[in-house]
Amino acid sequence: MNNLNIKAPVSTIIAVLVAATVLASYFLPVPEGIPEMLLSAAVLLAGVALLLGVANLFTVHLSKIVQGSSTALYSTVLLVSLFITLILTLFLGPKGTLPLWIFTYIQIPIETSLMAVLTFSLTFAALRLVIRRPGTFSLIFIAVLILVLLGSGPIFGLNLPIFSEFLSPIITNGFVLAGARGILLGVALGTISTGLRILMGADRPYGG
Amino acid sequence: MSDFGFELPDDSEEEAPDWLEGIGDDAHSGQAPPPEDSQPAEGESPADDALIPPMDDHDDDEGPDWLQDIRSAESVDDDREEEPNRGDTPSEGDPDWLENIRQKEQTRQQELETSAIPEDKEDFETYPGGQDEYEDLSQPSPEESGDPSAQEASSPDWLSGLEDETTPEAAPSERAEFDAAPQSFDDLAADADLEDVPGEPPSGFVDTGSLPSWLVDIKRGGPPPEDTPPDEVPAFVSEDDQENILPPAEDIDLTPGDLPSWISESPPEEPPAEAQAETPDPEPEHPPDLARANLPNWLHAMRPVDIPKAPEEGLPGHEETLGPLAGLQNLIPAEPDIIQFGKSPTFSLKLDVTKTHERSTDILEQLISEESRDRKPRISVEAITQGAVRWVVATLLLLSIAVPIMLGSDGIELPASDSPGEGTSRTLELIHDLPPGGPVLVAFDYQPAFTGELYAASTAVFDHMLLRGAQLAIFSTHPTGASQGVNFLQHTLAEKHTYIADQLYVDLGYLAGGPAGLRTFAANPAGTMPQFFDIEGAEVSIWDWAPLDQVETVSDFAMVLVLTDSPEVARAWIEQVDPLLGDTPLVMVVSEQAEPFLIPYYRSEAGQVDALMAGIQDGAYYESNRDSEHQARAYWNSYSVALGISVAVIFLGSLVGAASMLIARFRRPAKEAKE
Repeated sequence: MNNLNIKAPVSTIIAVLVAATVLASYFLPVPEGIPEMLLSAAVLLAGVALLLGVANLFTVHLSKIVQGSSTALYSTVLLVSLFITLILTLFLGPKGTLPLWIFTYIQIPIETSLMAVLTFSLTFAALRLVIRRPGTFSLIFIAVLILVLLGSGPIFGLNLPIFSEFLSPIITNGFVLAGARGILLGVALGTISTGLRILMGADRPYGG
Repeated sequence: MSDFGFELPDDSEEEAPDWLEGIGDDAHSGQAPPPEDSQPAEGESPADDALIPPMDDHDDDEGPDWLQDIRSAESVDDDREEEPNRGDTPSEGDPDWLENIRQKEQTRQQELETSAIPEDKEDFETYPGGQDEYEDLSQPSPEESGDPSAQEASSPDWLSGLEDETTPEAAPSERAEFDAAPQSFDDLAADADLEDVPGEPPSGFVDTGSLPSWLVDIKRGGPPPEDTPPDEVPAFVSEDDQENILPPAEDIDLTPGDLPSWISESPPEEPPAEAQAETPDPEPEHPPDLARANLPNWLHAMRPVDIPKAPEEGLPGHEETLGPLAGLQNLIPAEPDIIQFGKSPTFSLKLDVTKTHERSTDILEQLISEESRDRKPRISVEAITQGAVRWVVATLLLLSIAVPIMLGSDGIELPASDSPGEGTSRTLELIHDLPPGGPVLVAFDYQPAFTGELYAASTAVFDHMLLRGAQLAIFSTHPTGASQGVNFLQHTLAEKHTYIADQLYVDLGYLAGGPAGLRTFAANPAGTMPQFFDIEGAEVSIWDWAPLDQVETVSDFAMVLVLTDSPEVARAWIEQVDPLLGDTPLVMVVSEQAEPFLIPYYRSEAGQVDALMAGIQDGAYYESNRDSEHQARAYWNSYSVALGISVAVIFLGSLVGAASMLIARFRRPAKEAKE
């Protein structure tokens, strides 16, 4: 009796019942308000989960500082930034001057700079692709990349209709579209199978 | 002691068949014969009884008659075996040896015809085989003839030996018991009146009609009958085998070359001296010119070719010279023959080293010597080249972006307004058709890293909507989305649209839950994201205030605009919100990286996405069509130059790589040819 896990069947029953009710609301006349109530509960739980995530982040980095880890300095910066932003936003609101200033002049430039670095990295990687991995597929990859870039806009102010109006649309609307649809169909099938497994209790991502 | 007057060894008595012991026991114990009405046991035929010959006229010293017959049959056994077909009538294809036998039999028949035939012969001609029986019995037996040489000649060697050993030792008492016992079935039948049994042959004769002639001949020991048809062959001999029966012995030439070695090498057995003296020489009965045997192929193939000789364990005449057995002869040698002491083979100690071995040894020595050397750390040329190229590429890209911005917005013209993209044209139409003052739901669902791209793509769109008098309600499913919306409206359009203020757009904030939150919001916006603001000290719900006072569901918005960089977020909007939109258009302004995954939704017949714009290029098209200059115009020059630089760098780098690859391919065969 000590090994009996009461939580597992209860959580499974709740998950299956909620999922079946919400799914049935798409096809059957379910009493009004029940699906919305369940979905609202899910939204609240997601918000709580976000708060729990923030609390977990605080705990982890605080433990690193207490233990004197080698990354304690970064953890300290993170926790200080968290406290400042949290306090300013709580008192001034998200549309306050200071919170917006922090967001506009700190967070956006940092993340945009990371994206810019990605631009450099991708360009350099494309340059070295044929040198490091010479082969047919490398040449095909580079050829397609150059054709799409040439069709993406004017090159040094020169519009190249043969690329922008002929070659690039062929690639984008042909190969790219076909590949994207294949990926989306696979995602849809995977979503259906995952949903069915959760409905049947085969998959229990909630534990138990 | 045997009942037949001679003594058998003990083991012979044990190995005697049951029928023989039974007879002996009956005769010895003097049991009464079976009653009249006694029937043979099941499985016991009268022919079995007939197999036992009568013993009334046997000689006491020689044994019963049937045994005498067997003795006489032994004398002609060899001839019988070589006479599988004893017919009188010659047939075509008969071998010569058969003709010889026939001639001999005819001669014998002529001799028999001269002798007297009993009168009661006719009584027995009616029985099958009776003629043969009579003719056999008409001939005087060796015992009756009183010729001892004939008697000895007619008995086999083994029996002669037994007689010699046992006859003198027969005790008188045992002989008397033997005489008192019924000596034959005639006696038994006389006691039991078996003559009255219908169909029973008369005593002294057996029913040979149910027996093969060869068995009758063995039993009677007489000469072969003359009138035996040629087809009286044992039943187990087939017709084919009759033709393949071995020729007579005189036609077989048993030369040593045709015999297996184990036969030819074995010494001939010498019969005992007494047997040699008593046994007549078989030479007169067998012609000296024996024909050579024709062995069948299968038998020829089976004969042993080479039989190894057994080691001579006891060498005759070998005398032991050493040890305590010295002086003894014919001893088994102490060491087996296979153990031989000799000089062990010697192997050369000289290494057989070839040139390949020497070359491999040199390479190994060179490797070991190189490993032991101290090396100075070397900076590879490739690392230097790679670092330099990285810096060159970074410098080129930075300059290509910075210089056009510093030079100003003039320079490279925007794309022609008469050739905008399909999604851009559709967006223009939808915004142009917005009702004045209509509520527009705007979702800022992108990360801050994509702020620059989406600013350039959507600024002209927002400008167009605001000019159309749209009332904006912004919210996000991303934690930073709400701040993104506020930042966008206040920093990109505030200079041109000075009327933008908190009172002119509604910030609904952050919506948690992802797809579930979107579904909930689409069904019940007011209930999902309740917002209150203070008007003259009273909290008023934002959903009770214009422009959202007429909105109950998401389909009550005039348009839904989604700005995102993520295909997953865009798919969640399409799957959860679009089914509830009704006639409300869904417009998406997305990053370039998300466009390929959203084109299928835009190009679908259901029109899940009514308009789709992507990246700075569509923004530039929109601005060009709107004849306005916004973020796309500011970035357009840098975008064009940096795009050209990126293409040039990638192209040149790939060209160098392809050239080096080709050079390496051409050099490899030449290097291998040199080696």
